[in-house]
Amino acid sequence: MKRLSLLFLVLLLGLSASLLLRGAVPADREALATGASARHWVGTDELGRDRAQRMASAFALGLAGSTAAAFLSTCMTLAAAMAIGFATPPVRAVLLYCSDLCLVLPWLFLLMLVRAVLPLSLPGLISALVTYALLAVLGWPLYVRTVSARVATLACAEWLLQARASGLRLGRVLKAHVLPHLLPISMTQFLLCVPLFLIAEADLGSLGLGVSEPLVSWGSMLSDISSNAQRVSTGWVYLPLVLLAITVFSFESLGAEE
Amino acid sequence: MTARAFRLLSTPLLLVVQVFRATAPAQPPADLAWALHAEPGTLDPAKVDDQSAETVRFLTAGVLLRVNRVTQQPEPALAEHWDVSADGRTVTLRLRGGLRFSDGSPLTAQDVVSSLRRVLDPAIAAPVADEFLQPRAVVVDTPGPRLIRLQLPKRVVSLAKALDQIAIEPASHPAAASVTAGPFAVAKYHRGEYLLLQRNAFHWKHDSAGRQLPYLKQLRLDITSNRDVERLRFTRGQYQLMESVSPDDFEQVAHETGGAHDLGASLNTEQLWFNQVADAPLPSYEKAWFESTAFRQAVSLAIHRNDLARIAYKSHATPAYGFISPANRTWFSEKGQAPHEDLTRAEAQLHAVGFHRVGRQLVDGAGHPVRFSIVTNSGNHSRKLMGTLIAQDLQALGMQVTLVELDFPALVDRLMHTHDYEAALLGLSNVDVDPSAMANVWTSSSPNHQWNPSQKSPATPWEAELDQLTAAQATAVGYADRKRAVDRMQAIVAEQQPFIYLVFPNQLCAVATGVEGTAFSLLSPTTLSAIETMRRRGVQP
Repeated sequence: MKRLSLLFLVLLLGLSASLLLRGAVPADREALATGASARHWVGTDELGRDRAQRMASAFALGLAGSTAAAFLSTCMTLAAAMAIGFATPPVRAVLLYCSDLCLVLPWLFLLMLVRAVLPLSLPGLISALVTYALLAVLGWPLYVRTVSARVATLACAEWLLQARASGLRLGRVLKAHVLPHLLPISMTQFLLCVPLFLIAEADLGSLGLGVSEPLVSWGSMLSDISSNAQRVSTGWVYLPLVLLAITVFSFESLGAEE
Repeated sequence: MTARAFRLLSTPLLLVVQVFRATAPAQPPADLAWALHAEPGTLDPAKVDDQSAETVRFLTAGVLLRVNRVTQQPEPALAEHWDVSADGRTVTLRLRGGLRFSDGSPLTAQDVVSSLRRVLDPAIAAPVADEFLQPRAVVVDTPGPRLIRLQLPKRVVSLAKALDQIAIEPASHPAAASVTAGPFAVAKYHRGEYLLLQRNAFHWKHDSAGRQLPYLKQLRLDITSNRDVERLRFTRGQYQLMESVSPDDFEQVAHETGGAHDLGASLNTEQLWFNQVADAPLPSYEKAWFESTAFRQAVSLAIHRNDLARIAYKSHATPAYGFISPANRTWFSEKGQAPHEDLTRAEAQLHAVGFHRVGRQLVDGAGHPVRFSIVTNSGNHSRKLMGTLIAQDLQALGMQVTLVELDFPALVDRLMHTHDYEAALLGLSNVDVDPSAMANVWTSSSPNHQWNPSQKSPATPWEAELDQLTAAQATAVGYADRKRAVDRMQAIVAEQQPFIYLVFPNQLCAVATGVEGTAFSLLSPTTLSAIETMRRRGVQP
């Protein structure tokens, strides 16, 4: 399954890259909500925009954004877990309380609030950066208890006590000895966060809170399905949903095997 | 499974089923059922202030005069005759004989006087009282047993429209539509679920064969805001009417039921405008763009309205170049229309006021790139598509436009309070063909003068002229004088483009093929104007 998932992701990445390198296909206002044709491989949306190219853009942006957000989120989790693992009990309690607080925040309203205070004419790229940065910030507490428990176990290990007793500074201990032990669990977190953020962006985008036009995201692709006229006109409108589901499944498989 | 185990399991299961049966909204059968998209704010006909309550009032209220929604002309109702004095300040109405309320009690001139006085009472705060200009100064009396006299301090242009909205109720107990003199009365009201209206057996109206109207015995108005649920119930035959159908759903409803109707351009408008508020939190160079007539005209010239109608509304809209719909034949003016699409002319106009291109980007005389956002409300698919198409069209001029969808409270806050926006894309519902109904939009001191609301004095000479014309058309006695003023208003709006009109969405509705006697109207309610003579096919009245 792992190889199949990898193969699928690589294939999709290659296809997206080739479509994006073809250059922008201008919207064709005479070909609205069409099915597959020689000119438009998987049809057009209701504004006459090429669906294949839009999906390629959404895939590329989703992959880049979610991967970066997952990496950032994993780093934040690692930093927080190490701080919790080696802190004094009162500080540890405060840090764990903070992570729990982040988990119970009504993040949808937070995102709406952030969207409302941001300048209206925010360029698409900045809106994408803000969206994925917010997801990363909101995603770090998800695994912090798991990773910090692992750090706490390591902190009590005799070899680590020996290292510290030998005079090794804490920074050096963390970097050279603790971090390598945490990489497998962090890799799993990273691989599970990517699909989580893909879905989160798609949800936000379909609510109009995610990446703004002219950038194309999974969210804006999925919002097309909300149009009854689109659903009736062609079955190709469901293709982004299918591709997103397979992409998410592929990452979930990779994460599970890890 | 043993019999004992089965009994043990089946008892709680039956209990659950019973509980569900008790709590599920059991909707009573009705001759006609359809959806109200929101809970009526009130059933008191004097306090109606929303569309749902307006529909209930239309179905239940006995009124002195009824504006025929199809011909748009007043017709006698409870009053069989009316007379207006030469100066328009004294109105005398004569009631029909033998009128009764739905509970069988007689309807007298005293009931009429009481109902009119109640509506004019400032303590009731009836929205319709504003139509009388100075409601406190209106004198209502009964010079004869069936006569009612209104003495007005000022002539009221839309008197018939005002009387069309005043329900005559029993003087002793105004009854919130449960005792009425209209075709129906409210029989049951389950908040959040449905309203059941029962035929008024004492209604004054009869058909040509002398049969009592209305034909239908019961109407059920389900309260549901979900348009998908409404469409599904209509296509399954559970509903017989859809007062409005979205352009997205129209073809499907037409295909599945054969009952969808496109009545052509409605009176409603969709428009784009730029923020011209002097103290808006915008850079001064942006304010200068938006205050420039040439800039607004260029934007208007670059928008392909035919594409907006064809793509965003699936061809169920009519391109708009002015604020009066061509469906409003009395007031529409061909001369008062903005010029149609012309990209070359748009570029020339921008060039004449210092805008030029740097690469593909349009910049102003000081080198600021022309970038702005258009705010609109989220959840309106057609509007979202229009915004995207407009952004594409303006890209041809070198402008970078971002469409921002905001939830309605956030949008209203920006438009009405903080004025923190650059351009807005919204619609306006017009419930009346008379242009005086739009006075609150054109008067510069009005909070609804959207591009620059609540001005202490008109910011521009053309807004001052609009103020004068708005007042003139509302007070002029003859149609010719009023028409001249309204034509001039249309010409000013076409030239200055404070609102860049985009489309008139078509009036789309649906009626099940088994319903007979329907008449459609552009005025609200669209499908109910002939409710008294509507009936189900095959059912004898």
